[in-house]
Amino acid sequence: MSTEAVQTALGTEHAAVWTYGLVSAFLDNPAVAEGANAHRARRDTTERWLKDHNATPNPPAAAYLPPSPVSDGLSAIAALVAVEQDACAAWRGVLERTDDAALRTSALDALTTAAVRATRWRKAAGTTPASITMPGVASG
Amino acid sequence: MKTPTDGVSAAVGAQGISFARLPPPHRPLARLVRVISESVSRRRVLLAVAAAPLAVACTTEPPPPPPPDPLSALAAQARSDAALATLLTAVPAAAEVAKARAAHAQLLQAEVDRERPPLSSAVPPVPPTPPQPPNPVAALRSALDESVRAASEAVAALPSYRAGLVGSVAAGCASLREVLA
Repeated sequence: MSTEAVQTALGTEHAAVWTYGLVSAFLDNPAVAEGANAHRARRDTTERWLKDHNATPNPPAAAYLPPSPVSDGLSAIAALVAVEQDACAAWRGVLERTDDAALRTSALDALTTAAVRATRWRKAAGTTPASITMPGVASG
Repeated sequence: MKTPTDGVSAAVGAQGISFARLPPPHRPLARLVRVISESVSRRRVLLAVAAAPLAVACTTEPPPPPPPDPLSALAAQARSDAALATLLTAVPAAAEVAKARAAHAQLLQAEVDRERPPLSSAVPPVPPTPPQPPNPVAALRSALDESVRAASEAVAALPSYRAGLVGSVAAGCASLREVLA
């Protein structure tokens, strides 16, 4: 059961890597490369965890559909906020389904860093409030 | 003067005396059993057996109170952060911090009360208004850093159904910290 939650989280990491690649055409911001690297690293460690637990990591999809079309800087940021919030929800899901200390630490780190990046992008877009009260919760 | 022992040996030696009146000479255990059964009635034995667990139940120490819920410390921390942020009317982001930390306090307290319903409906004590620190924004930043640390540390030891809640609180504090950065 924690394997399924980790597969879901891996799916959001694949989507995040893809989306950071997509928005790099619209955003000239060093935070794009930082976020892309962070998600790539997280994707790799997640795949390793799954292989270590005798599961086949789900492959990435050919493409992902952002919630709204990406055509300029603001819509690019909106797509980034969406993938970061998806990652928050997926990693919170892992936290709720595992008693494995190492996986919990890793899931909490993924949840926290995704929440911080989502806040950074919301702040960049001028969204108020920029913070997310309960990252990973649908209403948050 | 005859001693009782003399009397017994005399009785054993004498022929024709009723056997039932003689104490059994070579069975001291049987004598003991008979003595006990004469002095303690069956009813008293049954009563004593029935009352023993009751006596144990009445004399053992009550179990120690459970350790305090780790979430109630986090809820208190959230209330105190919210109180500190409320003071900073000059900083626009502080209102956001106050609102978010008040929401955290409410969610954490709800979970504490769900697991151990409070005995009375008393509201948790509102922390005393902290004195205005010399550099309030820096104080709020360090309070949030401390909240991220405390919540992250708590996640490791919590049951999984609470780990999600406290993990979100930790991430929410990190998010607030980013707003103040």
